[in-house]
Amino acid sequence: MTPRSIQLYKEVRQLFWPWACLVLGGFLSLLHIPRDDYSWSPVDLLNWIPPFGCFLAIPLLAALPLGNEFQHRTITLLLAQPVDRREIWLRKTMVTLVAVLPVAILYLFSFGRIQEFDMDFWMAAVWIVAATAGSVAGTLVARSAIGGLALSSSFFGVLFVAWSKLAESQRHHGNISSAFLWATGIVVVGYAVSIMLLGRRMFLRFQIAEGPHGEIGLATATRFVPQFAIDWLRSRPRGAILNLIRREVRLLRVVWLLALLSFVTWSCLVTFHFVKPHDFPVESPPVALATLLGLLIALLAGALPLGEEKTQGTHTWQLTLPISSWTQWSVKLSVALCTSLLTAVGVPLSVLLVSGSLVGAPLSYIGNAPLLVFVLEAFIITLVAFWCSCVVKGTVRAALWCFPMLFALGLAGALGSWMGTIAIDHSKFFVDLLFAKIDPFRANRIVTSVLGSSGSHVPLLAVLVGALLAVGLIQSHRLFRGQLEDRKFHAIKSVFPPLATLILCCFLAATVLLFAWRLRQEQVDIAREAHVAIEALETSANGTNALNVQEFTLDDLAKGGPLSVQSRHWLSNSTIVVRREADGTQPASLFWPYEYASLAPAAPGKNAISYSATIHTPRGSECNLRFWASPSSQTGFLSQSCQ
Amino acid sequence: MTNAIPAIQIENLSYAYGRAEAVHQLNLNVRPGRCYGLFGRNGAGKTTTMKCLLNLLRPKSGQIRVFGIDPAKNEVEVKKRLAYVPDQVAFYPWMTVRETLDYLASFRENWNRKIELELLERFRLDAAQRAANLSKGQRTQVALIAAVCPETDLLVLDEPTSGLDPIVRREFIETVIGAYQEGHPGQRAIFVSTHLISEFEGLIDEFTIMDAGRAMLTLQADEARERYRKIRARFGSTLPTIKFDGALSSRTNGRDLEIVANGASSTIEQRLRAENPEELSTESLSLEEIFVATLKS
Repeated sequence: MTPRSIQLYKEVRQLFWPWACLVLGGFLSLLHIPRDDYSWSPVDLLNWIPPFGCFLAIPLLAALPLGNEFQHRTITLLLAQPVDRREIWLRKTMVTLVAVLPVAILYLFSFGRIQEFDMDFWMAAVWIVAATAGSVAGTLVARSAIGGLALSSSFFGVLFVAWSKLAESQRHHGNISSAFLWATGIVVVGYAVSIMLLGRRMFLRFQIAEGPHGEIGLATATRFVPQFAIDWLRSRPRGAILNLIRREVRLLRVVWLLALLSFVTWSCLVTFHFVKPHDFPVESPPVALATLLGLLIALLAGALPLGEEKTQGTHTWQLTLPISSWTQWSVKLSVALCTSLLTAVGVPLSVLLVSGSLVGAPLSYIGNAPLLVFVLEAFIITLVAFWCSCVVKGTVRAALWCFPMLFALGLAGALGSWMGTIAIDHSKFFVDLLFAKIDPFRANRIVTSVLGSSGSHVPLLAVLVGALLAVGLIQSHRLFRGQLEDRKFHAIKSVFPPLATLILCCFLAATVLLFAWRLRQEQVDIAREAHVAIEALETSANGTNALNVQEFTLDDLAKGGPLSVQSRHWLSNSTIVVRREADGTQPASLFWPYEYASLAPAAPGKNAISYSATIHTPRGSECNLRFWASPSSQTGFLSQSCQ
Repeated sequence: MTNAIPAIQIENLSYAYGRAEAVHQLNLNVRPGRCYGLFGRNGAGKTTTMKCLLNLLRPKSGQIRVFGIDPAKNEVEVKKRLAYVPDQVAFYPWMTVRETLDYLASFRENWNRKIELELLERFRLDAAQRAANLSKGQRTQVALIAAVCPETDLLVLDEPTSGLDPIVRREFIETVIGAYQEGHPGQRAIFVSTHLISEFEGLIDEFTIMDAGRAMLTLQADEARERYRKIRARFGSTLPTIKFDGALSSRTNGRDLEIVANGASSTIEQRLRAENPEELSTESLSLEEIFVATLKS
């Protein structure tokens, strides 16, 4: 190998794995898997890959060639070599372009398939060009890949929102004129060339000051921080926990800057009417971009605190201080989560609330906004990013690991659920055996506690999430306090415990849910069969001056309507006391969580008769049926509550 | 009573990074009031041993006690009683020297402000200077101040003088370390790993030489000087052909013969004298020479 090819190989090698992951993600996003139902599936994550790739991952890839030099502290070594800086810049730029170009085409194609190659597609293309061109300048100012991405994105982001407004107004007036597209093209190319040349100039004149990364750029930014905040952030000789919190707040300084950008972005979105009262267009590119910014903030809030410490080499030293690693870990995680929720969700929320207040209806802007989804997303992304920063060294690596980890978690959940469904389907013999033993009337309380009062599965989900959180947090603390092992497959090995836990939890959840659901279904089936029989018996007795209260046995019910083997088994030796109710009587309120109602038919060809019935089984359980219907109606509501 | 408990007690310590064994069955004992040196080449396992001591690494086998306390079980208790200077010092770049020292003081029950000021002055450090702008040597100086000021019972130093200029290095070893031990005579122990053995010569009471994770030699410094001797002899004509038992190494240069003896210096000296040398001299080896001789043999 020639010296030049060795240098080129080094540039290519450091980009290869992120590039390969991106390519894999791009191809995955091309898969179109049609689905019939509206429930969540990990397949839905595929739709997030193109916007993530276009707006975050590709700009990050472009920032890596130079960002890695800062990350690994090799910039001094690189610039100390007897090579012309122009040559280094050219080599890095060429490698960046060669890496970014195919990935950009792949992602834009994928993005275009979703957005049908309309204006949004062009917006994504413009973003990639501008962010890639500005990567060198941004990275040099921030002295890190993530900081560079944030800086170049924020600089171009403001221009992008203004340009989106112009594009929107063009679209409202009909088709976008070719003159507008041409003007956009010229401006974007002009911007890209200018910012690239600026980056080149900065690189040629770059001075390596002593000390870690990003301090010059960030020191400039901290000049605008109020004095009281600077005073509060200063460490004191007493108050160790407060000092730890102060340290975390300062480690998250990039997040605070991004929060400021988020504030400006959301203010612009409201000012330029991208977001209107009762209209929150999540899929509009400027809004999606602002949402992505929130997700980036959540990601950095999780990855930065430990990632930066590991990069700077302060983490090991911190662990030698006379304060438990548990306390240090707890403070770090708590501050990260609070900052994430405050900046990723709190900032947009406050802008929308204030904007709503200005128009007299504080909640008008957030009426349609999926707030709970934002909160959950921010929470999950921060947790996963924090976990990743415990596993790998450095912020950039942690941020990059976050994407496959999120996808793997989704996939593991789906795999566990699928295995649970398959297990229930393929063990019919055991399931039937269990059903033959379990009294569906007596199991009502258990079924309700599993399924939840309204079928929301909240109790079971809480157990599932709790188990996964416990495993993830315990593992992250173990990794936090342990020495990082730079061995091959260490990171991949660390992924298995949470994934295995999730698969197991989802498997158990799916089996328990399906089992409980079938148990409830059996109870409902028995009740409905009994109802049809009661309706038939009541109707036949209607003209014969029927008694208000009647008592039936299983044999009586069998005369009224067909009963299945299960119903005959569980109702044998039971007494069914039926009390006729006045037609059209409004039912008393339902007794949740034990009672629920469903539409039920009257006897075939007859008008429905309202009644209430109590089934006393020989095993001591009691099940109340209530059926109420409008006069002359052939259907009504049947409710049941078993105890 | 406290003196009966060793400051550090390591028994059969082993640690491996994957399959690469870094420390193998290491045993050592540091008594209070003593300065203990851990010598070894790069990759000998010194830093790994120190990290196990601080519970930064969990040993694969063996037992560690610091003042009788297990660092794995009572991490905080152990760290309260020791101060550590790592081989690579890193501080938060946004903090000034003053803030860094205040930050570190907040974790300690005791912090000697007087010593802090004295050392800042002695090292000519500007307390208002940002940590990001400190040189490598200045960062080490701040780390040393931060280790001395809490006045702990044990000072764990991993290559503490690397990066320091010769003047500061000498001042640190002679004055700072000396003052630290004199502050509580017989109580404060120092556990130091270093390449610059000659600079710690006067301070070291006991030492262990490590190679490839194994303890090659553990001795009291005085005993070592007594045992390891260099015998020089000059002969009139040709060198006699004598085989010396107990010689670690022997070297000839013309009519000169130089033998490094391990405990058998008087026997060797007698046998040499019997050959009627023109000159015969015996001198103790320095710790650095013992280190080199042990590893070469």
